Amino acid sequence: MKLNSIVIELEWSQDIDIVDLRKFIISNFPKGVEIIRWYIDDIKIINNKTRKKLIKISASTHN
Amino acid sequence: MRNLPTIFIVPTGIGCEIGGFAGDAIPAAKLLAASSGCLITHPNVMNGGSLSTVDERIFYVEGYSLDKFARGEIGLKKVYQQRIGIIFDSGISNEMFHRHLQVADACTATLGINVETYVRTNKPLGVVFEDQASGASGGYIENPDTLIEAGQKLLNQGITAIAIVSDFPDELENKDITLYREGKSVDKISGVEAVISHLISKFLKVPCAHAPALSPLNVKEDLDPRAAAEEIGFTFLPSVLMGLNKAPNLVDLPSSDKEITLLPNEVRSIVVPSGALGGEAVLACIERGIPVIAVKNKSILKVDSGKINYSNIIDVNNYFEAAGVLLSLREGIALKSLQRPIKSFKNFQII
Repeated sequence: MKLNSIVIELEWSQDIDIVDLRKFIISNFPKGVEIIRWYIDDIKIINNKTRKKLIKISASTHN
Repeated sequence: MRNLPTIFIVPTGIGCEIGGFAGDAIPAAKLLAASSGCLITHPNVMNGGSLSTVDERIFYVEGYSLDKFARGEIGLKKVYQQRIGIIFDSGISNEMFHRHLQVADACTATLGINVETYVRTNKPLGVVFEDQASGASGGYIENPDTLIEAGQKLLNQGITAIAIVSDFPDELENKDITLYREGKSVDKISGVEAVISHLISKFLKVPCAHAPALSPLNVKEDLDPRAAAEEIGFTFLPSVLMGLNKAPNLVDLPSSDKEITLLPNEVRSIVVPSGALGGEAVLACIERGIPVIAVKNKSILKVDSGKINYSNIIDVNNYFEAAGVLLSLREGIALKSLQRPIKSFKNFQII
């Protein structure tokens, strides 16, 4: 087993409700990666009009 | 009065003003336990090096398992006492190893804790520090398999809770540590500590917690009081053993076990620093519509209520207010009744 630290950036569009955010994030982890720990590091609004946001996630993973 | 089971989180390694040091969120945990009657929290909150506290209302649950609990995957079952085993990183110096053995003796002789046996890893764990871009502490270990293997040996002997003691490299004696001891920096080792204990929780599914083995530091006269609990002994193991002594068993759900003490669907609120709303436990609670009490507690993260569109976030200024909110929820006193101005009822017609 090998451990890694990874950073993922995801666009969070308005049609994904906050109650679905956790599952949305998990479903976007790279394939074949097992998660040990993750958290949202930062959220930036990238489009004020559409309220689209960019989420940065830090994670510790293993293969 | 009914209890209001509440999860209390102060994330590791993000430099929280309260809870970012050596168990300095314990007073807040005691206050929240008193106001809620039932608090589920994690070692980063409860471990203060040589110091901790014991409170029947507090469930001591390692972070990975706490996330699972928040996701509804496990229940918590109180025990009279755990049978504790210790994993020692084989990289620890002989002197530090014996210091830790004496902690186990002390906890048995003085506190009545059942520390039964220990194992040394076949290979050194190989702790590596790695700062995150945000400044949060992070890192990994080079030999995770040797950690799991050692833990499995303990379980094979009937051990029910695991303390892990890892060797941390002396490269820590640098500017970051000095700043941490002065209360001006994040705890640089806590990110790796979380990875180590999460691995045990993930693969072995038992209560666990981690203590770093660090060479003694020279006395520092301008030490921040919040870091002092890590300076008054040779090891950080006492608080870990105190926490694990009565840590609840973790029961996979669904389960036919009738003796589960606390189920995830009994949780009624979660208390977190206001800038740390992006953790998995918080998002899992949001999925279930649970009130999130976001406490002003400065850290390097800025994931706050302005960035999370959730109507059930209650922003408060400090842990006194958080305790008041919990007590109000517990007593069935509407929060709006205590706030001013109060909007007239005539404005609330559904059209």
